[in-house]
Amino acid sequence: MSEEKKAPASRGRVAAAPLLQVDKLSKLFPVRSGPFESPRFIHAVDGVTLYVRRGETLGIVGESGSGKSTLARTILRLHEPTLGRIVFDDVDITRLPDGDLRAMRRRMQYVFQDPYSSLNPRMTVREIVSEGIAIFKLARAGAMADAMAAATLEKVGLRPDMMGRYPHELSGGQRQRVGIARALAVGPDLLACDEPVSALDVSVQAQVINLLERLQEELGLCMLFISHDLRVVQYTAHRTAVMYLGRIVEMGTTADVAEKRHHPYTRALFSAIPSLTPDGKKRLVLQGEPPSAMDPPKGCAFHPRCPSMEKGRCDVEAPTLEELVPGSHHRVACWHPEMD
Amino acid sequence: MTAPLLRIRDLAVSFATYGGVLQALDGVSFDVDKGRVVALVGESGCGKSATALSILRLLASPPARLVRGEIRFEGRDLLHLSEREMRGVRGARIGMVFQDPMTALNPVYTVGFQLIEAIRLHRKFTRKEAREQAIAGLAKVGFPEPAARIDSYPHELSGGMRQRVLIAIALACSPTLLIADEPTTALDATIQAQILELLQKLRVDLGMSLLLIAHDLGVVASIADEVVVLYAGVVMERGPTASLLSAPAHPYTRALLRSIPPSGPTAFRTRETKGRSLPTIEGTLPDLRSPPPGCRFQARCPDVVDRCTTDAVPLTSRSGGGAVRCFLAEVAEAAEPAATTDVA
Ligand SMILES: Nc1ncnc2c1ncn2[C@@H]1O[C@H](COP(=O)(O)OP(=O)(O)O)[C@@H](O)[C@H]1O
Ligand SMILES: Nc1ncnc2c1ncn2[C@@H]1O[C@H](COP(=O)(O)OP(=O)(O)O)[C@@H](O)[C@H]1O
Ligand code: SF4
Ligand SMILES: [Mg+2]
Ligand SMILES: [Mg+2]
Repeated sequence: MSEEKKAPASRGRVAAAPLLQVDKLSKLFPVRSGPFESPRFIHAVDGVTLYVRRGETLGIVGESGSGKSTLARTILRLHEPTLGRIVFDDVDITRLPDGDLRAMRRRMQYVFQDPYSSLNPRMTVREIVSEGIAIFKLARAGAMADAMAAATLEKVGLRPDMMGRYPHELSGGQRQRVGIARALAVGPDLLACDEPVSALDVSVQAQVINLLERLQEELGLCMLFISHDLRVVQYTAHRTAVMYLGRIVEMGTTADVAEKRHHPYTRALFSAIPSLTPDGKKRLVLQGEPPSAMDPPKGCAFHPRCPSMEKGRCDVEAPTLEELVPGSHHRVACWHPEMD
Repeated sequence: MTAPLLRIRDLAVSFATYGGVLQALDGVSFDVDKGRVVALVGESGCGKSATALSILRLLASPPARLVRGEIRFEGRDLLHLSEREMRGVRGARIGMVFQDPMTALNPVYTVGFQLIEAIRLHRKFTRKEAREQAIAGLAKVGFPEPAARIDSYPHELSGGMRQRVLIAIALACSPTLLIADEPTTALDATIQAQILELLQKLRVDLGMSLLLIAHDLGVVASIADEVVVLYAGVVMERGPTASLLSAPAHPYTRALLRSIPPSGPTAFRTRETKGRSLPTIEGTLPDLRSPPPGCRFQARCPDVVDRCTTDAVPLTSRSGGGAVRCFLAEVAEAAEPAATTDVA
C-alpha cells in the first residue's frame, strides 16, 4: 500500500514537504582511554536519513545503546551534528548559529524519559511550566504567564490547583504530564518524546499515550516517539524506524513494518514482545547483546547475532537501506530480508 | 496433600509515616508450591516489595510493623525465627534478586569478589575452590566468557549482565525458593526475554520454586503457573494463569489486562487499526493511610455498587481453582455448587 495514502489527514491541511528532513546524519563521540591516547570514536548515530510530516508520529525503536536518544538530541541540536544535514520547516539548521537557533528551539521540544529526575525538585509545577514561557518571552511574568501555564496544564489533564505542588508530591503519571506540559507551553511544532512511558506502570502508560495522541491531533504536532518497547511504538506511531547500532535497519509505515518484518532484527524485536497466551510455540529469543558502538562489527552490524547471516557477505559488506519494492517507502538494510 | 513450600496467611504490615500509619498490606494470603512459579502482580505501590521483604524479614522496623499474619516456609514460622536463624534462611534457602542490578551490586568490588563472598558465606571453600564455583555459577546463568570476565566491575557490564550476576549470587547456595522482585523491569524487551528464559530454565534444572514480582502481567504471564493480583495491599484475585487470563473474575484484573497493549508473536495493532484509544484505568491507588471502607478498588471500579463502599469484601474460592475478592464475582459464583468462602 502506498504510504502517501496512509498519511494522517492533519486537519484538512495538505502537508506537502515534510516538516523535518534529516539526511545522512552522523554523531560521533570522541572517547579517550588515557590522557596521551588519541581519541577513538563512538558512532552513536551513523548516516541516518528520515523525514516526518506535520501531524505524523515517527516511532524509533531499538535496544538500549542503539542511538535513539542521540539521534533525537542531535536533530534538536542539543548535540552538535558531526556529519549530515537537518532541515526543519525548509530551514537548514545543521550549522545554524546560536542566535538564529533560538527561535527554532522554541518550535522543537524534548520530553524526557524519567519523570523523576527530569523535573527540578525545588520548582513548583507553576515554575516548571512557565519557565519556557519566560525564556522565550511569550508572556510577561505574572498573571499572563500564569494563565498560559494553567491553560497548558488543563490540556494535559491536570487541574490548575496542581500549580503549587512540587514534583515529589505527584504520581509518576502526573509528573510525566508536567513534563509534557512544560514542552507544550511554548507552542512547539515538533515534539521529541524520549521513552515517555518507559518508567510508568502499564495502566498509566496507556493514559499518557492517549494524551499524546489527542494532543497531536488537536495541535497537528509532528512527533518523534522513541522507545525500546515495540508494544508501545507499534500502537502509537504512523511510521516506524528500527535502529541497530546507530543505523536504521528497517523503516516504513507501522503496518508494513509490523506485518512484513523483513529485517531479521525486526523479527527478533517482535518475537521478544511478551505474550499473554502461553502458546506452545517456543519464541525465538535473540541471543547475546548489541556489540559496542566503539568497535562495531564489520559488514552488517547485526551479523554476529543474525540467524540468516551469510559468511563472506554479511560480515564483509554493509547493506544499505533500500526499498524492496520500488515506490513502497518500506526500506530495509539486509542482504537476506525475510520474505514469508 | 503436602504442605506448600511457602505459605502466607493474613499478612498485615504497616509503615509509620509523617502523615499517619500506612496500611501497606492488609490480610495477604497465598501459597507457593514446590517447583512452581507464582507471579505477584499489581501497580506500583500496591505492596509487592513489602510482601517480598516481609518474607525475608528485611523490612526495617520502624517504620515497618508486622500487624498480624503468618509466613511458613519449609514448615518453619519465619516471623518468629531469631535473627540468627533467619540468616540461615536468607541466601541459603531463599535467594533474592532485586529490580535494579546497579544499586544491588557494590560498585567498588568486582562481580567475582561479590559472588565468591556469597559462596563462602554459606559453605567452607578455599578461595580457589570458591572462585571455580563462581565461574561455574556465572556460566550457568549465561554470563559470556566467565573465566575471563569474572574480574569485571559492575559498571563495566550491561544491565542484562548485571542481572545475570545477581541471579548467580542468589543461586550461589542452591535455594529452594527464589524471589525475584521486578527482575526485568529495567531491561530491554530482548534482554527481558533472555532473563525470563533463563529463570524458566533454572527452575526446571534446579527444581526451584519462583516468586516472580512484576507490575506488568504481560511480561510474567508466559512463565507463571499461578498469578496473585495485589491491589492496595489486598489480594484481589489469584488462580492458575490460564484461567485467570481467559476468565478474569475481578474488575481490576480485567482492567489490568485491557491496559496491556496487544501482544504476542504475531499480533500487532497500529494506530489506524485500533479504534479510538487504549483502555486505561483512570484514577490512582487510594491513600493507604485512610483506606475507604469496603472494597479498596471502589473509586476506580467500573462496576461499583452501593455495597462495595460499605461492606468488607471476602475472598471467595472459585470453582476452577483460585479465589476472587468481589461482590459481583461472588454472585456469579454462587450458582456454582463448589463455591465456598476461603478459609484464609
Ligand atoms: N554524551 C555521550 N558521550 C559519549 N558516548 C555517548 C554519549 N551519549 C551516548 N553515547 C553512546 O552512544 C551510543 C548510543 O547511545 P544512546 O543514544 O543513549 O542510545 P539509546 O537512546 O538508543 O539507548 C551508546 O553507545 C552510548 O554509550
Ligand atoms: N519504608 C517505607 N516507609 C513508608 N512507606 C513505605 C515504605 N516502604 C513502602 N512504603 C509504602 O508501602 C506501600 C507499598 O509499597 P511497595 O511494597 O514498595 O509497593 P510495590 O513494590 O508494589 O511498588 C506504598 O504505599 C509505599 O509508599
Ligand atoms: S545483512 Fe546478513 S547479517 Fe545483516 S541482517 Fe541481513 S542476513 Fe543478517
Ligand atoms: Mg535513550
Ligand atoms: Mg516494588
